Amino acid sequence: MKTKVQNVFRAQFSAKSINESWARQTVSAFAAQLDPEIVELADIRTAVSEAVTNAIVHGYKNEGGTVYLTVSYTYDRVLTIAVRDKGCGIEDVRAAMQPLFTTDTTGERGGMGFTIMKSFTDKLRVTSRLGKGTLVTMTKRLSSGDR
Amino acid sequence: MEKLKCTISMSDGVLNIRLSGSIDHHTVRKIREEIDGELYKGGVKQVVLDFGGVDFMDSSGLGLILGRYTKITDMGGKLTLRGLSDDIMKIIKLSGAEKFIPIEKIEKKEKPTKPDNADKKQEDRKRSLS
Ligand SMILES: Nc1ncnc2c1ncn2[C@@H]1O[C@H](COP(=O)(O)OP(=O)(O)OP(=O)(O)O)[C@@H](O)[C@H]1O
Ligand SMILES: [Mg+2]
Repeated sequence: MKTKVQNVFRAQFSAKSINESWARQTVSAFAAQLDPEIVELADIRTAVSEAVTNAIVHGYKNEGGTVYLTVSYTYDRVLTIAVRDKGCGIEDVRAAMQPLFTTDTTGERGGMGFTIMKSFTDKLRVTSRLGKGTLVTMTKRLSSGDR
Repeated sequence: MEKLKCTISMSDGVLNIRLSGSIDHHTVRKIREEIDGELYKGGVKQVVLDFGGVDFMDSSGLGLILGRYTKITDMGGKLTLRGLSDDIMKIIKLSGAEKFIPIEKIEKKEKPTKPDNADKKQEDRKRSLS
């Protein structure tokens, strides 16, 4: 059952690697309004870093563009993070989401980004169209606030 | 602390690399080049990568580890990881790298165990939310 959105923010920023830390810290600060556990915030930062880095590195192939970020939470503490790019898109999303799958040829990427996003959130959804771009949506229910 | 720094020292063929700051795709490149520069000078039998000062790491850090592991192994050397926090360990375990890369146990004084950590956690919590 879905409950109503309590709070939302939207941002768009240049697909530059220097914005990776800004993006994860901004989402973390927003999620901190719900007073979650420290480890939950750490997991959120990592998951955001993965999605944003993928948009910059793979979606836009390090050549720049715009990354779109929408984050919201509901009254029952479900945080939703959407990271979208209008980059190259993914040919086979299922294959791309497998652990260790990477199209990187430098030997410097482990192909673990999607696996980390999946394991650090409750739900990961990826939709993509070749030549149009990619939308990564992650949801995470934060532990109850009455501690 | 968002920048990533590394302090490198070499003695008896052991290259000690202490990292501090945040490891992501943006910060990792410079560090990778610094480390590889040292490796190519030669004479390295063992590399110790110390994550004791790292406050954030994503898959780019995993890539750094795996990439260095391949390079160092190809050169006939050995790689050891040190000072891994629980957060970093979670990422390493997802990849299975802990099965083939030796990891040093964290010393007690560096990382207090549960009882006396509980208070600190509360403090961290307050600080991070203020
Ligand atoms: N936004 C995106 N646009 C286009 N392709 C993408 C996007 N995100 C991921 N991919 C593709 O999916 C693959 C797997 O992504 P994943 O994040 O799991 O691994 P990686 O980025 O290659 O390595 P790592 O994240 O471990 O550094 C990528 O190699 C890339 O081919
Ligand atoms: Mg990735």
